[in-house]
Amino acid sequence: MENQIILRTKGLTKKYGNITAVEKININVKRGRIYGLLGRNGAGKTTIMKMILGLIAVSSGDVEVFGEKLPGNENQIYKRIGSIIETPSFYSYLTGTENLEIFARLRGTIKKDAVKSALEVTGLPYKDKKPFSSYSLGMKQRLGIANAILNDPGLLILDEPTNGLDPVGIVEIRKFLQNLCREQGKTIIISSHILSEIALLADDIGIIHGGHLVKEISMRELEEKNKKYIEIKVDSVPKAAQLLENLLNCKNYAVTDKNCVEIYEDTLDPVSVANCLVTHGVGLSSLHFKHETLEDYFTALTGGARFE
Amino acid sequence: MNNAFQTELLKLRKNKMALIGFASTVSVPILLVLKSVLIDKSKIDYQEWLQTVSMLVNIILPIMSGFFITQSMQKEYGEKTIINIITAPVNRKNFVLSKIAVWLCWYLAVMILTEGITIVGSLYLFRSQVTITSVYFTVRLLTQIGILSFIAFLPVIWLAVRQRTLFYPTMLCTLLFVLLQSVGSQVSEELLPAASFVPWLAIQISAMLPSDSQYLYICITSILCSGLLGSVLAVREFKRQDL
Repeated sequence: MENQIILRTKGLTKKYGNITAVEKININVKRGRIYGLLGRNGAGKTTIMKMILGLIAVSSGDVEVFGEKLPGNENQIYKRIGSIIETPSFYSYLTGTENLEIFARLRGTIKKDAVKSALEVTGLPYKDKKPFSSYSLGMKQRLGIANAILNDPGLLILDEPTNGLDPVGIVEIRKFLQNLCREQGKTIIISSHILSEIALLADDIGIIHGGHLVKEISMRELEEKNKKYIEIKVDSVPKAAQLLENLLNCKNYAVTDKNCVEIYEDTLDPVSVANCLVTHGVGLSSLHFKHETLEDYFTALTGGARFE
Repeated sequence: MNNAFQTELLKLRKNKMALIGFASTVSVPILLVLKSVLIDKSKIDYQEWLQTVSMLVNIILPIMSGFFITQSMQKEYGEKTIINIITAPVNRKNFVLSKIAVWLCWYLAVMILTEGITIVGSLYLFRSQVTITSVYFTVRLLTQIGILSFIAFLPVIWLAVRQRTLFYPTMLCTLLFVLLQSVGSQVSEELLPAASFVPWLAIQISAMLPSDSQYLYICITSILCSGLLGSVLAVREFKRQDL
């Protein structure tokens, strides 16, 4: 059941005149998992989400949600999707409760206490007097999430939902989304340009760069794929290199700094490396067992400068 | 459609523009009654008073109406609430039609209240001159001009959709329409055939023509075409719009 594809795009393309915003995007989102759309600002993440939600016209390609094609089944499909696109947008002169009541009525078929419970789970007050314009950015984001979960959707599409939140708020939203996914079996598509956020939250990722999907991979696959290595910091790199080659029979290493060596030989264990170096008089200031991060992977894939 | 319409009514509750427009229009006959009582005293003529009320209401109401619909659409784009509405999901055609429906409700409410105050005011000021016939005539005149004006001004919503977050183009267009509507009452007999084809001129012309005049049908047709075209273009524009 978990491997069932709930959202699929085939060759999804958006062109504005001669400019291609996104081209031939094929993403596959599995049921009950969190899919992270990762890319720099302007990579095309929001455009993809907007096309899925029917906010902008698709130039070419197909979108299939819950096994049904779009366009054509909008009314059935969109009722089962909750979303935040760009910033949470509400009527500034109405309170949070009034705003949600409006969107609840628009959806038509939701439970009576849906507004109250959506506000409660996102930690916002019910029937308060504060207009939306006086909300802090964190409260606005929470109200956006409350609106997205109002109709108990099977699929959530969230465009940078932690934008503007403080660190505590980010952790809270992350836990909340993880709970929604793990305990209630919701499928979530979340976009972000913050790598650490996606790394902590997503089960699968799609890396968007320059309007193209450069890689779609599960986090588990990524962890297995990423190189693991031992990083040592020594007082004499030549001596350490000599010991590695002659005594530990290790040829797969690289000197990355005047005091730093990275050992990629996966048969070596860190304790024997440390013992060998120390007993032969090499000053060892640090030894770490490391693996490539999502950031390294992203940088290698997109070929650009380090990620913002 | 019903949900979208009810939602629009909910939004109206705290809409300041709706309230300002309502108060401004309704205050016209009230101020004219006060002026007659406090300044003019008994020196005024009933017909003249009615003409003044009618003229001012027919200027203020369309202007306020233009403000109302422009602000209503512009706020949806400006605050990006339109994204939440469309993803709710609300059919794009239903969204535009519900805006028109609420606009009409607001318009009718203002118009009816203004007419009521005008009748009460005229009864108070000219008790001896007011007859059932004159009340009927007043109501018919104000209602006819009011409703035809609303229909002729429907292209404003097309502009409001088209301009998205901007405010001034629609307002300038509204003012131009109001100007044309006011000029309508000054059209000479020679220009009548041509003027009947211009919907905004035709509003006032239709009020002056006898019911069997062929020009009346031209006026009504041109006004209905304007309304239909405005609504169709607004729906078409909104359906094609990337949000």
